[in-house]
Amino acid sequence: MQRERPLVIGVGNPQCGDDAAGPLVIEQIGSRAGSRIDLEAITGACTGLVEHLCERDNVIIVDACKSGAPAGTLHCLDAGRTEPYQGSISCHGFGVAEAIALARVMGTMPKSCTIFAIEGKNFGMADVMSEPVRRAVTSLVSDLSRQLQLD
Amino acid sequence: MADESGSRTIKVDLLARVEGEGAFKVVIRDGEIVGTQFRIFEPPRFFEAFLRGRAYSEAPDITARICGICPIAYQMSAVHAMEDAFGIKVGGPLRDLRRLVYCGEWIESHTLHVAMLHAPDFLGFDGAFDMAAAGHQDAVRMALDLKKAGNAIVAFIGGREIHPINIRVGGFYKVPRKRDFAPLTETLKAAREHALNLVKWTSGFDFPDHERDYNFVSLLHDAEYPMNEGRIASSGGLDIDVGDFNRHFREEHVAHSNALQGFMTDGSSYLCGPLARYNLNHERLSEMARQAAKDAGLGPSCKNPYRSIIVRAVEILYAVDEALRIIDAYQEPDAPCVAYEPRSSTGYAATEAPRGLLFHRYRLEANGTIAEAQIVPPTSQNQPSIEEDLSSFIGDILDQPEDEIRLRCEQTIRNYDPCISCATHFLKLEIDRG
Repeated sequence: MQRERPLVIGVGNPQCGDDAAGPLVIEQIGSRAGSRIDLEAITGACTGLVEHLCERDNVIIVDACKSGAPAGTLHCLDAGRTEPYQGSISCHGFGVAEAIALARVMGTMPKSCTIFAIEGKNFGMADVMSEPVRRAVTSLVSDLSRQLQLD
Repeated sequence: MADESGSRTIKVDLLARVEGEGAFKVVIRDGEIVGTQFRIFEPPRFFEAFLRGRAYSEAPDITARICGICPIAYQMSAVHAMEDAFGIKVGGPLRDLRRLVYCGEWIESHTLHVAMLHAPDFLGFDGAFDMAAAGHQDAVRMALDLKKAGNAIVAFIGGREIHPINIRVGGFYKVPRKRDFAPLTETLKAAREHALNLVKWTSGFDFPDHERDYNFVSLLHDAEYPMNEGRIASSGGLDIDVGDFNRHFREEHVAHSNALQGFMTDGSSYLCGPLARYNLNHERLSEMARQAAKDAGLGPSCKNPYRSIIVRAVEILYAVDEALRIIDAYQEPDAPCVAYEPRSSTGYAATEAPRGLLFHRYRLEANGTIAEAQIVPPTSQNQPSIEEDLSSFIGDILDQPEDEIRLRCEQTIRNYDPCISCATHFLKLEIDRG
């Protein structure tokens, strides 16, 4: 059943340095995914993420973040237990937080929704991905492959 | 903030639920509005300059990057203008596929605005989160399904949902097989029910009782509700070839905005977008869309801009209905693209972006290199009308609390679904009472 199959979603802009971490994780898991899991890269607005959150039981979201921690730090969050979102929606600013907030108020969050957030430092247009983030991507791909029994 | 003379200043640093960064200012003296400014302070984006020296074939993909919400509109105006320059006409199934992919963009763009951005104004919520939490989950879910249907069309024809990659001058890189439409057809049949329900939902809102005698401007086509082609017409009697756009319309730089503002050449404002299309083309809607509009209380003409939320919902229904019609009639073309030769020429096109008329002009060198580009997006054209709406529609509530005035201003601006990104991005509101 598609609903029960894990879905890994990488979020970010591939042209903005460390923000490419999510899509790069999806790319590196790539062919290993087989039929055991589904993969999706979201490189624009996250309105489509709400649909996935409504339709799946097990979602893993990989995104870059900026919290002040050293670049390459991996944060693991349970999306169902994050702080309530206080912002509002705009077409051009609909991100992971907005998608999760909307799914939560609609009561359609997956049974399991884990966010892996990789701390970045280079987010400018055409920036190169930093080495700590590149290493964190490789490490996360390895961990997810083991966790999802892809090897 | 009131001073001793009774004047007040109301300032909003960030107006949500519009696209991009801008500001709005109302100047009030002695209880009268003496000035309104819709300010767009996002830095200019220089797309017209980027295009100079690039190949004609790059224009659809470069201009698509102007907007993540309406890239199809930019691609369509670009390819039609190039084809006009090369003296070719794309017809038959290729033309139908272009109309189909435009339907997809109307559905996704309109649905997001109607249900997530504008509806909270009418229902008294700060935003879609509050609206969903207060019992409107079904409407939000319906909107998400509708938007997904629009996305599915764009992805199916365009290759991906955002910034599609399959559109080229002369047609497409690849066209679908007839048999491959089956899943999309099922999705759209369900979406048509959602669209009907969206029209009913919006028709039940309370609307401020305000009208203006707008000069509506949209494309006019003999047989179709306009999307990709037609003459440019107005409710004021204008009926011109697209190539004559610059003889009747002009762009003007105003000191308070980084986006050019669009006027008729006589300096008057005009309105483009769903309300204009509806007023000039009501009889060209599908029977189902016309009936839904009638059931929603809309006549053939609607001059109340707040009811534009219903008109957008009607256009969503029309786009779904039209998409199904096109799919049903689709015959696989012999080739995905028609042949052409670049030449030294100037090409013009206007198509109907979700927010209104989108004009492109390109002057090309003999090898197809772009020597000059002109892009006039709908939000630029609507800026003067937005300012006039604000002058006209808040006079009756100036004695109300500042939050009420601010809400009405925001609601009024959102009638236009302004895309500030396209016009040069979001919105600060400042009311200056001296």
